[in-house]
Amino acid sequence: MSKRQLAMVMDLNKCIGCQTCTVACKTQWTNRNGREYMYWNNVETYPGEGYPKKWMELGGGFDAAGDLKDGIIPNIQADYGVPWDYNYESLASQNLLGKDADKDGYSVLGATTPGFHPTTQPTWGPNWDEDEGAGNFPSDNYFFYLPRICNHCTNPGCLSACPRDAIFKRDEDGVVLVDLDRCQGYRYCIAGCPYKKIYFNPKISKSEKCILCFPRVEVGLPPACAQQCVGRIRFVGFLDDEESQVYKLVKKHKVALPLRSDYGTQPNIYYIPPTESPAKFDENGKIIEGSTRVPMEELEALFGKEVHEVVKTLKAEQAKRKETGESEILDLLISYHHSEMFRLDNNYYQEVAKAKGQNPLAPIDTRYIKGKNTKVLFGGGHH
Amino acid sequence: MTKNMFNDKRRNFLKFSGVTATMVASQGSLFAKTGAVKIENAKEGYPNTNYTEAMYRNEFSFTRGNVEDTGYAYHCVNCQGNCAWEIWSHNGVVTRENQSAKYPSINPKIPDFNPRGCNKGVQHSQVMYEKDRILYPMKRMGKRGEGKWKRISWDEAATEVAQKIFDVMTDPTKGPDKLMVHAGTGLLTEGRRGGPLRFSTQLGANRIYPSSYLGDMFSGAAIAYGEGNVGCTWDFMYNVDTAVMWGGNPSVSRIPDAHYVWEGKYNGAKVIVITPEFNGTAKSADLWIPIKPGSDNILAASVIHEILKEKMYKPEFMKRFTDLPFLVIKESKKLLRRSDMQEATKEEEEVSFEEQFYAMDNHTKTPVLMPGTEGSGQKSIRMDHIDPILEGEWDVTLKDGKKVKVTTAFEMLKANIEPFAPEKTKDLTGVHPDTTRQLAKDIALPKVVSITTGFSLNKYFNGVMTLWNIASICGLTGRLGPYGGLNTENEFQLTGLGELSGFAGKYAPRFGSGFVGEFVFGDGLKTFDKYFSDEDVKRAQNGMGKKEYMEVIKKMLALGENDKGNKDAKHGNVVKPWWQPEVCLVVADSKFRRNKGTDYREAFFKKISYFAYADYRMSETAVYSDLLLPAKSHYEVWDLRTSPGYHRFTNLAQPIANMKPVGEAKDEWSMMEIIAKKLEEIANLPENIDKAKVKDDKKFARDGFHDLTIAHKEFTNTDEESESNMEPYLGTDKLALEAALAKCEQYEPWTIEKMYKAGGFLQINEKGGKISPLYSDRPYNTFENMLYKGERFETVSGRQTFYVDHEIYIQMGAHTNTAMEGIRPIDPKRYPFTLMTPHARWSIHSNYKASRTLQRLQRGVPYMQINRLIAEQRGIQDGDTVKVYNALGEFYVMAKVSSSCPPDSLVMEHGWEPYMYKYNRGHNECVPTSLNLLEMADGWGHLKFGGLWDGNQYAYDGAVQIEKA
Repeated sequence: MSKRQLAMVMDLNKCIGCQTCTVACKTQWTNRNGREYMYWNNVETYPGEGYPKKWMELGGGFDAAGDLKDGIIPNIQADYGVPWDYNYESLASQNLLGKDADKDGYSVLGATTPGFHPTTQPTWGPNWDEDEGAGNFPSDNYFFYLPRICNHCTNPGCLSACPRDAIFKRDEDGVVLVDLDRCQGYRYCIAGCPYKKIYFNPKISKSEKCILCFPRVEVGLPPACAQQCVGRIRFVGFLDDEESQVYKLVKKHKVALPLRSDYGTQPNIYYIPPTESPAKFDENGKIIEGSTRVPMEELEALFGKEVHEVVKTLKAEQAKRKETGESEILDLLISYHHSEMFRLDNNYYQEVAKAKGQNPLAPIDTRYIKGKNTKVLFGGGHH
Repeated sequence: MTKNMFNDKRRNFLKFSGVTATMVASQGSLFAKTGAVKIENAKEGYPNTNYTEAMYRNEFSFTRGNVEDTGYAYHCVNCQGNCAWEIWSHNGVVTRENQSAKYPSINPKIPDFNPRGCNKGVQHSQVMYEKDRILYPMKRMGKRGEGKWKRISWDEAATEVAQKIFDVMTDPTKGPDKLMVHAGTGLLTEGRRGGPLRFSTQLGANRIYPSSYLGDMFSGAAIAYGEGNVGCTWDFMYNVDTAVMWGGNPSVSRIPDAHYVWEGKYNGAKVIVITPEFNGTAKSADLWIPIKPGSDNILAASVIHEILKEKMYKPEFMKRFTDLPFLVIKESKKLLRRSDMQEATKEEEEVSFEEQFYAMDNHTKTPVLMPGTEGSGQKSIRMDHIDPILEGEWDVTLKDGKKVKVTTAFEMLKANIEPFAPEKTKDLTGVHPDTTRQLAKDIALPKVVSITTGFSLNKYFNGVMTLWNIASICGLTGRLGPYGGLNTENEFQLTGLGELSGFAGKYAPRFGSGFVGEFVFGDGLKTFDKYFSDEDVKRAQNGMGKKEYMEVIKKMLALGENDKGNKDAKHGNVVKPWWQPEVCLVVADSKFRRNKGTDYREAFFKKISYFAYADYRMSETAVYSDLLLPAKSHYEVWDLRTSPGYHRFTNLAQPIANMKPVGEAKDEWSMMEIIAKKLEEIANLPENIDKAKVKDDKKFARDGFHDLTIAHKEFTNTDEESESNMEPYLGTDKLALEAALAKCEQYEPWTIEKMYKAGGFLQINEKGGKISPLYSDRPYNTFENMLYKGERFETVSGRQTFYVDHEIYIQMGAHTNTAMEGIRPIDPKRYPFTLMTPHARWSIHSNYKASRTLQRLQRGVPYMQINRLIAEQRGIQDGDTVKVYNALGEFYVMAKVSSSCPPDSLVMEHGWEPYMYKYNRGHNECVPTSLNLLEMADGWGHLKFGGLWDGNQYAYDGAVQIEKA
């Protein structure tokens, strides 16, 4: 076990599926060097096939006895989707006119091939089933967004699966990393991760994955996906920091749950389940009072039996808020100050570096550095 | 399995930088196998952490670069988000962007505006160095669209444009009105946009109102309030009791502000979404109302019906703040005016008596003149001794002794709304009467209710009625200022910026109508005639047949040509003016993607001899141009942006330190400056100098001419008159930014340096509030000054307008709120689907549609949602190519089979460039065009052509069929 664990909570009621997180992650890490097809952060529409396709059916994780289960390595074409490119270079020189164009270049149909087109036919991608959902329109159809990053598990399936022991958990914050010095590209880790959040980099023949932006965190910047989340759904902090929102939501109020904890990896990314969805309609188009669209059995499959209690708590808090204007849980979820969604404990990282004999890195931003070991009286940097 | 593919397809993203190259090259040795390491337990005390950690730390520090090199920017495309971004760089090359997230909290109990941004802004760094950038001035060599170009110098390009401008302006058979200098909405800022606008005004060139041709003009709101841009900063949403998203989908198309809706919901708001499709906002709402496309004005009429029937309205409010107590002559349906009652004795009374109105006073039981009307001497709507009666019928004797029956506008409203009981409209709207009643209660009864209207509503033929009806719902239920009300798109007041784009009265802009202009340029009437039947027109225009309709339209168009009808008008505009240009200089405008019908581009080019276009990428408009001018993009410029007023901040654009130029791109000020310089040179040639004072109407040129011999001096404010008036020097983006900060009072006391230090923005001061105070610690919402200070609305009645007695309105039965079916053909056998193309999550119109990063999160090619059951019936599978067609044309898309799509509609995000489709023909091939007489009507009260009263180009009036291709 790592000494401390950095964790994230994502509020699925507030997630708007905009994928700013996905793109922020991409420009920070995965737009280069063999990572182009990877989405360390993705947002999938649930229900749907997910990313990679049908990841929940691809095995990995642990059985009841604690043994690693078999898993399948997804296929690039079929399951991840080929990251297609476009003919940017030739766009300006494309003849867009049809065969029978007149002297002014006009014809009813232009050239058959689009002037701007993918150079590989797209057949699948990380957001292919966006907003499709399930159910009958309009009576009971539904969907919600499920953002996913590496769960930085306490008992990582990838780590256990690696025959080289080349995946490790950082002592200081529990971030799970592939040792790129030692990884041999065997890819057992991919089969072993039940979330399929570890990827093979074909350019360097090694595995890579979400690193929880530890290089940002160490200098006082939250992970890109979290800091840049426009829906303000992501909280980051240490689970042992009683002042942190993640502690309060996960441990104190117990309203945030891990995804598919039945996989046995003890994930450290937690979710506020989607309690909010509009009322259904009956066969005459009448509102069914008190109904919601997301089936509880689906939520139970994703978040375990505890989800019933969580939904009850959240609904009770909403009722209380309407009546009294008060609710600590909702205050947390609303989060009045964006900067207070993050407690990155910068002094702690500085101490860790010193202990390792490294140069401690000065924070490049002072807004998010508070923590158990970092008391900031006049922090926040709002000016 | 994948190695080859990656090696072939991989793009070397950062090849611009030597540093990256070193990093990549060194990987060979970095990844060399190391000696054996013994691992006891990789979950604890792992011995070899440094190698990997150092690698990722290096990567991070590469993308971050030096903190002191940080630039700031926003993305000034027509999304209106306006967000402060930090721009990261390495060695003068932009690496990525990260929200600044430093906006101050205005109130500890209201969520702040951080980290404002979206999925599109977050990847501009990936697009700005893309290979579809226009790097150099390019001249067309082949046919338009044939893809043959020649690189030329800026000097050659500017000379060519200047010569074309000179020739058309000085041709005795042509003149300035044959020139169009226009900036589209790819450039919405207070700094840079001023460049092309200034040049346009200086030359007397014509330009057209963008919000009108985009279908983004809130004309229905302008009827009600005399102002289309009404509503709140989005933090207001946090404290409402009901938030209605009517035709709006903020989680998808208002991404930076959507969090306020969901935080408001946690804070107790009921969120209601009214959209035909199930979408990213509906999924978390309390109530989603799946309405039939285009029937919103009918549902709104039913809500009014319910409010009237259940007496949920607020009579005291209506008496004070609306024209509902105004007297109307029953027979003629005309408002009772002072000119009906009293002969004007002075010349000014002839106008002012026309704009004074009566109510029946409860104290005296006689008609009394209401204060605060346009013609009234009293400029406040406060009534000290009048108690107007809302309901009743009386006899009144007119000045000629004639006795007439009068009643109130409120009585007229009740009569007009009578047919729209929820039971009677349910088949048209698809909304169960119980739901309509619930909606009426949720809007009428709580304390604070905000109704946000989406831009989709104006995309339907009768969108003008929809917005007017929704405004009237708010008027009946007393919603202004702190009580909420209609939220279209707030705008703050910015004064002094006219110094950038204007000439202090020397020249005035030649504005043409947006929707009429594009209609005429594209031979819209031909498309209209081809597509719509007599029944369609009758259904949508209160029984007026197609033949009569077309005659009326033709007459209006003829009167509007070259501003003819307005020239002789005594009291403001009476018609939508348009000018047919021959030579065009256009900036950032997606004409050939946006305009409707198959024939727009052909028709346009048949009348245009020269089309010069400035953009930063090879857009659809660019590929058909005659000359391309390379523009800088958002991270390469100095600029600032405030509008619209979703928040109270003005963002700064300041390039990164030591920015390496991208090709020969120029900012728009510098572009116009060099063209102005060439124009001045040409005008001063001996053979030209005699004709260089170009005559123009005094409406557009104070002295009756444009003096091209000082074109550059005028443009840069170095001419004698400007120098003596101490006008700011202009001619580059940075000069414009400095002038804006110096001249706009709302920006005081900020400077570029202070904005930079704050994190790339300033907070506008209290002078930004126009019709409400801008409090330091409260969200803004419009109309508080009317509510508490008795200020008049900018309407003819001085109040919220429920009654318009324009001839056409009376003829259309729309003298007060009513509802009409759409013009879309009803032909369920042949063309069963409505084609809906709402604002996109993945692009801002066509901006960013070509982004690889964003396309990979979609389908890579144009795609369209088709209802799951319909697809099954038609044998269409997800991913199939589908042909979509109607009588106008056809296009091809990938089928996206979805449970969120209504069975009678097809939903696809708009903004795809036609060149992204098979046959290079986009979805507008199947979209007809038309003009609604209620928007064409002009010359009445506050409904006179201008920035607040133009009209809309519609987008959703096509009915289509699909088949598997």
